[in-house]
Amino acid sequence: MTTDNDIKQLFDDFRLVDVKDDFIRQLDKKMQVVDMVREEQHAASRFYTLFAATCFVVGLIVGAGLLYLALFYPIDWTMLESWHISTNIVLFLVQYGNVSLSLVACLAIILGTLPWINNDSGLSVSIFC
Amino acid sequence: MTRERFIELVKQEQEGLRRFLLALCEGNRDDADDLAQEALLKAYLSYDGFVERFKFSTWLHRIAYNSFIDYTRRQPPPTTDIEQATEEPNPEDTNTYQYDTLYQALEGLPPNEKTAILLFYMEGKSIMEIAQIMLKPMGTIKSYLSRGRTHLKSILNHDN
Repeated sequence: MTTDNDIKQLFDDFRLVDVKDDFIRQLDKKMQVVDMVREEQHAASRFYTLFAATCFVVGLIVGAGLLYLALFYPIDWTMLESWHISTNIVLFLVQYGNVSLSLVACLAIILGTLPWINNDSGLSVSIFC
Repeated sequence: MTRERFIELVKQEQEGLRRFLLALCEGNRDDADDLAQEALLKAYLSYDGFVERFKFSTWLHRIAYNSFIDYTRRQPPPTTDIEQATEEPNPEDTNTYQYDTLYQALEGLPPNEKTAILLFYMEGKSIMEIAQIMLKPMGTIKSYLSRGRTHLKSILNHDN
């Protein structure tokens, strides 16, 4: 008849199983590889942070500049009329040119901001690479 | 956490962890050690997530247990291959022979009971620690232990 002590004894014997080998050395090697990969990831992350910051600043400057041009330097209508080109077409182009200039400016700011915000999520990488 | 510091911590825990996995893998030392390495690497990578209210050893066992569950899910379903069934055990594998009774007895236990019994009897874990490792309430662990003991006794009696 097996008793609780017999069960304990069974496991006590098993506790003596020899596990001394180069397990730790192997683990250390694998951890070195993991550390190397992690270091590379950190380097990549630092690069993308810098990249995103640059995009943000450039986007901001370019966007602000374009907006400034669009808002404070309107087209000289008299000049356009003197070109003797169909006025309707020119007006259409000028109007939508201003709009598209503003859109480009906004887009530049957004593109400059996005990687900055999503730097850790990896989205910046998918957008720009 | 530096690599050297982690290795120091692991040196104290590796024996118990590997023994636990060896018993779960029913004597398959290669698989047990692969799982132990996998679990320790996971622990190293997620050390920031280690909560101080757990013991380091309990935390490691929990990761190892989860790795073992993943491992069992990866295993193909058992087949009744005649060649395998008649295959002679490797006489050089002394551990398999030495602890044959234990492995055979453990093989007959349901997985949860086996894990609870191993952690309790072999690793000397408390019921609370086992509950933290297996993510089950303490009452359930007590029930696993009670049923596991009864099963184990009946298997061992049957063998004798």
